[in-house]
Amino acid sequence: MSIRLRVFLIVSTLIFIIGIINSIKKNDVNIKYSLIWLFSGILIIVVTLIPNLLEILSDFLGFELVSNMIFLLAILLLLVLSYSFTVILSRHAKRIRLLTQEISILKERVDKK
Amino acid sequence: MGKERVLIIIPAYNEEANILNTYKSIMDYNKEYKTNYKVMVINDGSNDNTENFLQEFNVPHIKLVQNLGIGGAVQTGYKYALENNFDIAIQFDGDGQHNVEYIKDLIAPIINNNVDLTIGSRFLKEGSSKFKSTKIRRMGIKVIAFFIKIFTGRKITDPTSGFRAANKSVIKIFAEDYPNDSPEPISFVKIARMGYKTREVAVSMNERVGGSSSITSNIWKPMYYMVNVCIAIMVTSFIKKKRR
Repeated sequence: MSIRLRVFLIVSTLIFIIGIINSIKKNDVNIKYSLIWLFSGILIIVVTLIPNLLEILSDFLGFELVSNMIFLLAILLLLVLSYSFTVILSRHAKRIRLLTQEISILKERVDKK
Repeated sequence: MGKERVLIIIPAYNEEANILNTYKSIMDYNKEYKTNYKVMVINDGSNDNTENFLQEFNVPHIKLVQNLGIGGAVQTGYKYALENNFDIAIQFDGDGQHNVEYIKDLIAPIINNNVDLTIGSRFLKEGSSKFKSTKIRRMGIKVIAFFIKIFTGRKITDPTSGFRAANKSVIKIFAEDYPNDSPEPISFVKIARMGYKTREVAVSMNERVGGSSSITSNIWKPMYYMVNVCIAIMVTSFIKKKRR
């Protein structure tokens, strides 16, 4: 990895992490859901600082090219993430449905009196 | 019969054309046969005049603060039935498809034979119903019935029928958990797998008077409906069998 590429990666990842911390501060995002993004940011920085790490891991897992491993791992991570969003979304839909029903039943009872 | 408290749940989404007639038919029936069916219309976030009509004519109703879809609306009725300790809850369409005179046939097996859930079927007796739906829809219904037969072992001729009666135990189950899309066949499978007694009752249905059915707006919807139902039936039957 060239120095230029490393500097570019580290700077953009830092901006990414600062952005996340900012939205946590503003209460835009749950800490619980932002952790995975923070971790991936930190991981990118670690990997950029110690490039041999990737090569060792890639050799160990039997990939021909380091980039193949990176793409595969990234796609897997995104798949897991988007599935977990589906789970969270379904849970929230259920909760919204419950709230709608309870509020509506309550309103009917209050209006009757 | 007589001392059981019966609630008729009528889900209504943009039913301004039919809802008052439906309500009136039940009230007239109550007067004529000295029955005391209570009604609760669930206005599922209609954006036509349904709410105005319901208020103007003092129809007991719950106005959902936002549209939930048929499953969420009907479940609201079951929750209401549970909270108010009703013995039997009837699901009844607001669009004039169902006839109030069959309600007594639906609740009779629950009162006399310990049945937990009854379903009003158009296909149980040959020629019993004037309205039998289109050919394609009947085919879809047959496929769903076949799936249910495989996965629950129970014969059902009209699995998508929204004309049903539930006793207290089933009311409690539906109040806690009720599917959102194509709820009738899926909830039937669940009840069957849990070991509750179910029975079909022959009824006659009318063609819809106004509005449009929830499952025929375009080509994809019925396709999605079929796939959704068949998968849901399979998944639902993975839940453990429970007996009372």
